[in-house]
Amino acid sequence: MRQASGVALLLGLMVLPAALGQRSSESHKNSSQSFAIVSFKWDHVKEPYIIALWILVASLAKIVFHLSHKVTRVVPESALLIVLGVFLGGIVLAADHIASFSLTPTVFFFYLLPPIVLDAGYFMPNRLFFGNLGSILLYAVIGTIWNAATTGLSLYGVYLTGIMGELQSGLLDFLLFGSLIAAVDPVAVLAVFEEVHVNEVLFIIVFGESLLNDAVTVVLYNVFDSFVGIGAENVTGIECLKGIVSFFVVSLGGTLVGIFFAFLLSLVSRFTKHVRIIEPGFVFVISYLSYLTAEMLSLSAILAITFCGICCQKYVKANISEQSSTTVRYTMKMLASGAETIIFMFLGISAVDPKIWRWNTAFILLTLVFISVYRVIGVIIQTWILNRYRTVQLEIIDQVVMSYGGLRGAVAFALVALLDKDKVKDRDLFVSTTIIVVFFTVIFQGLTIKPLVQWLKVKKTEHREPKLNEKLHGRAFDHILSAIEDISGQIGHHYLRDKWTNFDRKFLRKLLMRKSAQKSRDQILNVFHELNLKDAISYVAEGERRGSLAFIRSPSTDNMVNVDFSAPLPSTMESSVSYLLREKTGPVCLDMQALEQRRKSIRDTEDSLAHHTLQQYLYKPRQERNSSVIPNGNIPSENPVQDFTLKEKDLEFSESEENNDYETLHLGKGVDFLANVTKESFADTPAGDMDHDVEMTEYSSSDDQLNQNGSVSVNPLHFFPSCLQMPWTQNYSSLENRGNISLSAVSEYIASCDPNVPDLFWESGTDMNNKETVNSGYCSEVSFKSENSQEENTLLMFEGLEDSYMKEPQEKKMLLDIEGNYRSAAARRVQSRRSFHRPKPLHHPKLQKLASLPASCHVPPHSLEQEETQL
Amino acid sequence: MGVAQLCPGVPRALPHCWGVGQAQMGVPRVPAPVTSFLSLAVTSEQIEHLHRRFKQLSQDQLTIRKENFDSIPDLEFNPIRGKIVHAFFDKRNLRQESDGLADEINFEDFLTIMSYFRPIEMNMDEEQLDRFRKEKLKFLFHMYDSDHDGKITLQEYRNVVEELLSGNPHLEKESARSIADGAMMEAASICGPDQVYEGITFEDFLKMWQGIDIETKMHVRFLNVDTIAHCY
Repeated sequence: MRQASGVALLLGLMVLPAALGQRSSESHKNSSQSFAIVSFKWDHVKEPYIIALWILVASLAKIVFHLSHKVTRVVPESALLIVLGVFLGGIVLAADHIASFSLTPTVFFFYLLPPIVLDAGYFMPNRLFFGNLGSILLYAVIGTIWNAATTGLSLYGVYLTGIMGELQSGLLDFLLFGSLIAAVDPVAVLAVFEEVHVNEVLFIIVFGESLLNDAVTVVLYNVFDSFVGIGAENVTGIECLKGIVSFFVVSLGGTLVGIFFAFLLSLVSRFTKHVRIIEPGFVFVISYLSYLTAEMLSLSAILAITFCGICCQKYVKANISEQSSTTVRYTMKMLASGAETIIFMFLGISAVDPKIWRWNTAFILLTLVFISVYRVIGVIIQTWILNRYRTVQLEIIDQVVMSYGGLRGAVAFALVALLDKDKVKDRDLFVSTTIIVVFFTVIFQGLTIKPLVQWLKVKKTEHREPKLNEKLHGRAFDHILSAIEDISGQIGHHYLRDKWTNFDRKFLRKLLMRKSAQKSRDQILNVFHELNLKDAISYVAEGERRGSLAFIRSPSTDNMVNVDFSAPLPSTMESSVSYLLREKTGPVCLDMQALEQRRKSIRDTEDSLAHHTLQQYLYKPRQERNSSVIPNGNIPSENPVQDFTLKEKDLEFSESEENNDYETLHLGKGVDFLANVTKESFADTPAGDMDHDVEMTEYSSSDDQLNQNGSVSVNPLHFFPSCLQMPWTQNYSSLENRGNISLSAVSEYIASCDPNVPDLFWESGTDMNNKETVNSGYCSEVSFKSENSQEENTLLMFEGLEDSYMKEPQEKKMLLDIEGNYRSAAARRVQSRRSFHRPKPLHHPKLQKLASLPASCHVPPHSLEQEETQL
Repeated sequence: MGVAQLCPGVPRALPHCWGVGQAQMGVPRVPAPVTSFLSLAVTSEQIEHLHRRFKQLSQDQLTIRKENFDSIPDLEFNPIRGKIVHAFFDKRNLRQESDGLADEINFEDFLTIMSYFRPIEMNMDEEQLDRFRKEKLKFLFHMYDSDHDGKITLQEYRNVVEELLSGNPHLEKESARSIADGAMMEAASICGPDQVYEGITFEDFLKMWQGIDIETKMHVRFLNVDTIAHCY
């Protein structure tokens, strides 16, 4: 069915050019009368048109695949694309009777491979990569040579027995074939392993191997290709020696070219401050140049572009602006993913060509057997050697995955397609075999690796939030370990890294990094910044949900944050964080697009995550338990801050709390302010009256209940949204510095309230909730709005609180009058917000949290959730 | 003093190591208890090397003083060198009953400190691993907890972070401070709502490290032993 839709798409696309041509001709007629003849110039646009169409087909295919999660979860995308390619190839063949499209080596090596490898290099986790470089190199160099030699020799050995029948190949041809089929393919490995999520060490070893074995493959391929060219009898020892030398030249040369261009790129990016628009272009152009240069010098191009990416990433990321960095990231991912898609599809298409097929069962089957068996043997032997030196041992399970992850792909196919038929007589057989091997590894192994990984219980990657503590300790470790190595007089891994870091800091950074970047470019600072940014974003989200950012501006933050830090100077605290944010954010925070981008990415991972993060950073001061049962008047006013408890649920705005807060609002002078706001917005939108009325009835009923209880109460729990505790809000508070609430006053106020009443309120709140839930969707929407407005009340209330607690009785009545107006206005504001941004409902974490709250706190889930289900 | 007393976190029975160690004890003037450290998976060769190194640092004395560490040029650039050197003289790390700072340490103590950095062993069981891990973390904890009160207070944390970041001349002290504050809050959020937060206790410290393989991080592989031994 999937394929059927693919066909439909393709057919539709075939018709498209014609239709487009007609339309354009019509428009031409209208615009330019002097040119009477409007021609249908298909030939003129044919080539780019076909390319564009293929890209479109491939991309659409991707969409179609992902319509069904079941399929993509089981079958890797690469396999699906190959199957699709075979199918499309079949159609083309049926239509044209020749295979007009295939993956040509030129296109592959010049246009499709570089973006993928650059992407891999530019986003390479450097520390991990260099930490495992020894293992990677061993597998890449020795492993590939081992695979090539054993496969080639074994095939030749079997050929001599005569099972394969008559072939026109000698030992060298077999070795040539062995060398091109030996290399694990980076594209295939990436495509499959990215979906499997094995642990990072395993991944980096398999993937690093597939990247770095390019040098070996290129050399072996070139050596044997030229040997086949000059004939077996002319191969001398000197030629072999040349081959070995050329390996070092090719690999080291490629690496050096890459490093050189990385240096150039970093240097250029230092001076692009005034041409931000083309900044991302440099990254692509210069890296591509490194690839082409290496290719020109017949060095390893893959190594060149890989190391270009690896080496430049640190400096480039520091130098270019945040937007450019995002652009680079997305463009690179897009190009790489697009290239990958096209490669696999064209692998499928290329297979449908009767001319290239030459079947030799024994040869093909034996090749499959040999590459699998020798891969396993190679991995076991090398791991055995490696494990004597590695601290993190590679276990049996890892070895199984490594052996199984030896996927062959488009590189092998492109190499085999490059062979000259005149020199290599059995080229067709080699091509067919390569296609079979590629298909087998990508489809069969790709399909089975996921269940295998699950079955073997391979350690998976855990996606964890970056933790500040973790980063700090990590940094400490680096220094401690290098110091221990220094003290004990050893040259070890840490020693080298330490020396490199020093060198980097003393010279390279000064040369390659912008001054401002040198300043801010510290990993720990980055993590800190990231975390703060995340908090900020979740704040904005929270504010949107509430309908206002007013809660951020509540006073009294600076005192609050310092709650538990033994007597820090408020001024330094404040200045430090705000300074840092101002300093660090620069273009970031102000640029809403970038923010939005980040925010999206957060949302993508998990919607509730943002909320969760928010809660994670709540600072819980001491004596939480005590404060919820504070007896009357027992709060020591000298140190009032400690007596306010900030609970996570403060952020969760359960309705009962709001009721509570809502009641306290009557005391707020802040409502005066709100009333003003109300009048303005009221005039704007008179249509909101309906909502308003509904709310009013509901709330007046709850008002009655509350009044019957006879006392006004404030639960200390709800006094300060715990979010105010987070460091970054200080920024706001220091900027805004709106009124200092006297904390001792508040505490006294709380002390004067009856601590038992909140429970009653909660119950009444729950009642009200129930009432609301039984109502229809419309009503629940109303409840959402009203709730938001209440939250706003709560927050704004703080501003007025200072004064209000004294004049409470007199003002109460007056405020009650105002309140109606105010609420509807707030509701309307929320509504208008909703029109462009519908707040997202919060998911499970919150529900779980609710479940763990004391019974009196149990309220129905957030009304947003109700809304979600009912609509 | 037996092994168990000397190093509570050390696996008690590693017979093959013992055997190897005693058979090859050719190290001159190595104090007798040192043999017990052979069970720390440090080969006799390494001990020999470390002993040579020790003599170098101490200028052929039996003990090392703080000043001796100044003679290591590579250490100069280490932003937290003070803390590290301090740790060598911290009696808590030396597995002595008493608290406080030692003035000088002998080779045995030197080895004790070094043994904190030994890599994980294949044949360790769960319990041993756990002890191993705790031992390493304890070392780290002691480094942070400079006033020996069993808690890393904010001030202590700030000092550490400031030192850590002192390598970057562009970073102001204040940013280091706010980072420390942020980290402290993070720690507070990890350690549960009921915590009275005056500082990170060792239990909290353990919690913070949950899920991170410290044993794969905090180790030095004593590979090529003699490479730079005689430079100074």
